[in-house]
Amino acid sequence: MAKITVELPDDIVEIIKQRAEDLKTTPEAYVATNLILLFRPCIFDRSKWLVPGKDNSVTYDPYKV
Amino acid sequence: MVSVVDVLPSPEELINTIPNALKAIGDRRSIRWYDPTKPVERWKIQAMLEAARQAPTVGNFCGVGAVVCYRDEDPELWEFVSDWSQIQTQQAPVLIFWYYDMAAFDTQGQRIHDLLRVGAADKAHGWEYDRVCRMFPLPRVLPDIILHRIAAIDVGNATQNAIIAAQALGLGTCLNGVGGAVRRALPQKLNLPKTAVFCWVMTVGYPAEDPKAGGVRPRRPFEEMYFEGKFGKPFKRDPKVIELLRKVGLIQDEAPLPGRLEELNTLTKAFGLGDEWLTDWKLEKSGCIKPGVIKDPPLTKLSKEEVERTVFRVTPPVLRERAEEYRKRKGIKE
Repeated sequence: MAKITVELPDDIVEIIKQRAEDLKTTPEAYVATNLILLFRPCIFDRSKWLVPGKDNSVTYDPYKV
Repeated sequence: MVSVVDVLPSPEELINTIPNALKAIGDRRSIRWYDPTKPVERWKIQAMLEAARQAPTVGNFCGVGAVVCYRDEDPELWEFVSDWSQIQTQQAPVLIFWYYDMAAFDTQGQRIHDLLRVGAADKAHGWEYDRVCRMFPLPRVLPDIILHRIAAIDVGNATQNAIIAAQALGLGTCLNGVGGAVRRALPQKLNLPKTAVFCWVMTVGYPAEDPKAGGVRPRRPFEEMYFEGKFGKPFKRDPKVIELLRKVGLIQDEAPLPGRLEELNTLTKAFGLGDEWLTDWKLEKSGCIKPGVIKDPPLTKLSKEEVERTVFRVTPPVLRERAEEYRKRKGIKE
């Protein structure tokens, strides 16, 4: 498991502490839960992306299907 | 019990019976009492999904999806879903689980390509192909949290289209959240991909309560929500417009309509719930509507058990025994 040190502004830490207290958990666990929820579905498969040419251009005729 | 009845109306019949868009929007309520014995036609569910598919979606994202479940086909499902609105999920014949799929961002470029191909987006509006290729798919240029937000807005658009379609076809709907534990267990239950984020469960059925459901819900005052030019300068309502919209059905009488409390308690008794479930609060205006009228008591903190029950654990259904009694008495099979 990765260990991450995060520096957060005090006012945000206060909100996190309050939310953690409401949910009977620790601020660290609260942050971790939210990060997991956020990143878990973000599995991007770049092989499916349209890729432009090396000069960042693509020849394209909008009327030709 | 048959859950699906499919007798299609003729197009003329349908056109002549459905309300116009403004009326359907005005008629819409969150329905919390459903007729459990009245199945929903499958074509109406399909119509809701077709409407959702037509909803605006950012850059042809098309990541919103839904899983339709029938109560009778999976009796465990509805008791698994929620311990908050159990009575509602138990009564509704159909549950629609709405989610967005982050993987749809991967192929968004292809669908932008389609937008260009069919002439929906043109060069004059800045939709140049090489520029589009650099920007889309959006994960190239936007952080994940923004992508989540965009996708969630799409879910809102899609569900709203489905809700209005359902309303026009005489169905009642309500969006429900589910607790954390169920939320985590749902993907497995519904076989959702890892990239999917579940958002709402929508109960669908024919209302057991009056379709007006006690009247239009009290919203924040119009002038407090909408502005002209800049925030703080209220958009003034024109009484003539209000009168016009009242006539076409968009604006209707505000809740509570007379007899609402009695209706709620009649329903409570009719569905075999005990006296302890009768609604006894006074339907008076809250301080939000008119400041200073009522002072709400200070909120009591939830106990540790209550928090754990709602956030961390799948709980046994609260009303299961009651529902079983009801089924036995009415001779409804499991």
